[in-house]
Amino acid sequence: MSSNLLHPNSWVDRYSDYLYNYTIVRVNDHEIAQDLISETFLAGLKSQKNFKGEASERTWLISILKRKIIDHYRKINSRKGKAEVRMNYNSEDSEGDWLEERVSDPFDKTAEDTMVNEELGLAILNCLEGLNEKQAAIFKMKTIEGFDTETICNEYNITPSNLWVIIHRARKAMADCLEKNWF
Amino acid sequence: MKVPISCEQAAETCDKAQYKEASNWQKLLMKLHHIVCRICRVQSKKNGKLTEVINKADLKTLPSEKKEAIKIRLHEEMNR
Repeated sequence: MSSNLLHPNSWVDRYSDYLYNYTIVRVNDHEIAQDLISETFLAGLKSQKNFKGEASERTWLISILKRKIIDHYRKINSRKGKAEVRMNYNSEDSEGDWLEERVSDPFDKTAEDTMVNEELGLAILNCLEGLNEKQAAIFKMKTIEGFDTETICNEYNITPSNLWVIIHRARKAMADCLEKNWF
Repeated sequence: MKVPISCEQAAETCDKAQYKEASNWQKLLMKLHHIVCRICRVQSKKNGKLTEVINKADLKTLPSEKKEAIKIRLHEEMNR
C-alpha cells in the first residue's frame, strides 16, 4: 500500500542540502551541482504522477538526481575528442605542471576518505531531518554555515538564551541519532 | 566536593565550547563539574564527538539565494 505523499512546496527546505552534498562529491563542481538539483526538482514536479508512494519522497528525488548525474556525464563524454583537455591550475606558478605530477600529493584525500566523509555527511543530514523545522534551520546556520549568535538571534527574533536552548536540544537529538546510526 | 555549577549550566558551557564561545573561566567551572558528575561527563564527550564528525564530514549547504531561486521556479511551474 502506498503511504508516502509528495509535498513539492517543502522540497527545497527539506532536501536541497542533502541532494547538494550527494551531488557535489559526484560532479565536483558547485555550479553544476546547483543546476542538477534545480533540474531534479523540476523533473520531479513534472513526473509527480509516476510517484507510487512506495519509496520516501527523498529516495524518489535521489533516483531522479542519479539519472541527471548520469546524463551530465553522458553529455561530457559525447563531447570527448571534440575538445582539447582543459586543466585548471591552482596558481599561475603551477601552470605547465601536468596532472600526473600532482596526483601523488600525499596530502590529498584518498578516494576511501571521500566515500566515508560522504556517507557521514549524508547520515548527519538524515538525522537533521528528524529535528523540527526551526531547530534544524538554526542548528544548520550555527553549526554548518558558521553564523554568529547575534546574526541568528536577529534573523529569528530570539534571545541568545533561547538560541542556546534550541542548540542544546538539537545537538542532543543529533548525537542520539548519530549514535544509533554512525558512532 | 561541592558542585560549582548546575548540570544545565555545565551543558550550556559545553555547547558554547563547541563553537568556541565559552570563556576559560566557564570551561574551568565545567571541568570541575565534570569531576563530580558522571552523567554530564558522558554527555560532554558525546557532544565533542558530534562536533568532530560534523567537522570531518565537511558539509556544504546550498546558498540561500540559490534556494530562493529554485523555490520561485518551482512555484511558477506549479501555477502553470
